[in-house]
Amino acid sequence: MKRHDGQISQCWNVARPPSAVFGRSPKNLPPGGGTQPRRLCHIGPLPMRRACGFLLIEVMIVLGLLAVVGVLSAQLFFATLRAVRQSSAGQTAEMRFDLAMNELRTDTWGASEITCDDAHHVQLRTAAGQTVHWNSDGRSLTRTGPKATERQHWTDVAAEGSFAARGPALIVLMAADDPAGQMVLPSQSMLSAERLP
Amino acid sequence: MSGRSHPHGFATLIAIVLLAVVSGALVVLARRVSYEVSRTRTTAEDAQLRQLLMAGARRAVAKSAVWGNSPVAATWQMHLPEPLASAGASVSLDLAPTPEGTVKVRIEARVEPRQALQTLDFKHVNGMWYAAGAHLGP
Repeated sequence: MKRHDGQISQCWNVARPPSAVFGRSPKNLPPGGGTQPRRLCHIGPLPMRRACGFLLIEVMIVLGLLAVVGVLSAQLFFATLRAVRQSSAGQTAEMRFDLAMNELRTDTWGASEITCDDAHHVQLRTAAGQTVHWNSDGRSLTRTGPKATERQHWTDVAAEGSFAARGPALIVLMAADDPAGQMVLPSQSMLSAERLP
Repeated sequence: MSGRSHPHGFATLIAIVLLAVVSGALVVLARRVSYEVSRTRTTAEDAQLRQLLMAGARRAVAKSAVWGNSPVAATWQMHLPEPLASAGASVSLDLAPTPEGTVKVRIEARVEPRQALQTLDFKHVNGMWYAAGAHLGP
């Protein structure tokens, strides 16, 4: 190897066709297509080594990153689906609970007598002498009106409910150990009757 | 060109899908929060309306002492505290004798834009009027 006009000159002998060395067409072969050793000279900058693949460590890192991203994406996807499903179910349960409580509030409002046989059953006697029964069974509520056919049932309401009578009001306990989880449903009939002269 | 665009396209696709999923979840959660806010506001307004109805019932019971034997139909408004009145709250009572000799008092509480209604049934026994029943709603 020697300097020649500021460029690098490289000479070597080859026993193979130049196409095997440079990947080109065998245009430098002698006429007639011989394969005799021939002295080739390359004048110019040295060809740079081109990276035509990946190292094993690079592939492993990329695969590891892809695995982490895949796992995180899957978790995010399923967490999103679960949140959407739970949100919808929770909203429906709250609506059922609100409907049941509105009905119970209306019954209690006009009740002249509130009787709790146990924590899961209450009788509301109206001024007309009719009785409405309410039963709580876990997360379901059942109302049975004066007629046997007047039966309403709410399943899978948002909270468990138990009953307690306290003066002119019915207490609905949604959490036994949490005072904030109570609903006080007053009886207007009983409140008005208390003010009788 | 294709050797460089494929990884970028894959990453972009994953990013778009994840953004869509998260956006959908955010929309659902925002809707849930909005529902909870609305429910809380409605519950508070309903509680206020029931308080006004009970106040109206107490006023009706107090007034029943001066009705006499044959009360006449009348309508009157309750005077409410200034904070309630300035918030648009009002309670009106409508007294209506019935042919059966009883009296129905219709109490309407209003906190704009919501309203609640109850009817009190009064019976006349031994020269006194007393509330024999109450019914929430129209």
